[in-house]
Formats: sequence, C-alpha cells, structure tokens
Amino acid sequence: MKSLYKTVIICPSVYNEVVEKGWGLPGSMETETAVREGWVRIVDVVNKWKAREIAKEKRIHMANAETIQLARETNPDFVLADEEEVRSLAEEDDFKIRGCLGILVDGVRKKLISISDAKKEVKGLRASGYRMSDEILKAFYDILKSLEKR
Amino acid sequence: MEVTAIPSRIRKKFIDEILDMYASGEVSAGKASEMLGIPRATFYQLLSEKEIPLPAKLEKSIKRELKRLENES
Repeated sequence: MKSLYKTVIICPSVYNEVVEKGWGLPGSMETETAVREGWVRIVDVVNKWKAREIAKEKRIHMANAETIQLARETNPDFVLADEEEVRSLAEEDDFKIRGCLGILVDGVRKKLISISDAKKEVKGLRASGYRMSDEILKAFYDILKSLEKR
Repeated sequence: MEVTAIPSRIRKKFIDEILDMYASGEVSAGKASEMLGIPRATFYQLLSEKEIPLPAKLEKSIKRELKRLENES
C-alpha cells in the first residue's frame, strides 16, 4: 500500500478502533508502523457536526460517517473501504473506491506483487473472515488472468 | 448487590442475532462489533469461525468495483 498510494489518511476514530481498541489483532501493528513512518496520516474531520449528522441520518457507525466526511473535505483519489455503508455513500459522491480486492489488482498492475501472491492474499482474507462468494472470486481471478497475458 | 454473569445460552443467542443482522445487511461490521463490544478485527474472526458470508449488498458493491477495474484494464 505504501508504494501504491503516496499517502493514506484516516480519521482518529478509525485509528482508535484499529490500533488502540484492536491492539494485537490483525492490522493494528501495521497501521501503527505506517503512522510512525508517516505515510498513513491521522487527520481529524473539520466539520464534526456534519459527520454526526451523517451517522444519525444514515444510521451508520460513527467511524464510517467520519470517513465519508473526511473524504468530502479532502477529496482523495480513492476511498479505501470494505464496509458497504462507506462504499455506498462514497459511490453516491462519485468517489473511486478501492476495497481489498481492488488494492490487490492495483498492486499486480503496478507489478508490486505477483499474481500468485495476490491469490494467496485472497485466500488469507477468506480465512480471516472476509468470506466473498465464488462468483466474486472468479471475477477477481479473471482480472488477474487478463493481467497475466500482458 | 450480587452481579451475575449473563448465561452463556443468552450470550450465544445475542451473538447469533447480531451475526444474522450483519449477514442480512441490517448492520455493518463496524456497527455489529460496536454492539458486541469487540474490535472489528475480532468481529471478522468471529465471521470466519461461523463461516458467515459477506452481506448481499456488499457483494454487489464489490462486483461493481471489479467490473470497473476490468473495464480499466
């Protein structure tokens, strides 16, 4: 991710959830290291009232509402999200979305990871609870196959 | 006042109920983990243990993303 995206910004509530509450769990140490290295930056939303309004109106989790509000305030190239409620709101706002599969495709395209490593990562994702359907897996493999031919 | 622990069958029922809500798309992983009082990563571990598939709405969203990625290539 460091090579793919120059800077990743997250709001404090996401950092808190992943690193502080989730210390020792997958992703916590990686996020902490990335923040220390400086390529993941913690940026607070300016309009917190608006974030609270999104959370209330759309009945979504506060960290997700802050992610959307932060995107609206910073206009990023991509919104990185695997939560449906973030993705649907980001789509409404015409942001480009990248979930973990999209990030892997970008990594393969830029030759940062091999196709076999991308496949291994997906198997790991499934094993860790991100249980996508066979249909999605097939679509993902088809994209990798088309990249293999290049 | 004596505080008694929640009986395990009730706790199990509560967890199953939240997992059902997640699977049907009623609540997100973030909301579900908040309701259970556990970190999101732990919630994903729970999904893995219980072999809960991704909610249909999220599946559709991922399909749209992959379609766009396919068109980009």
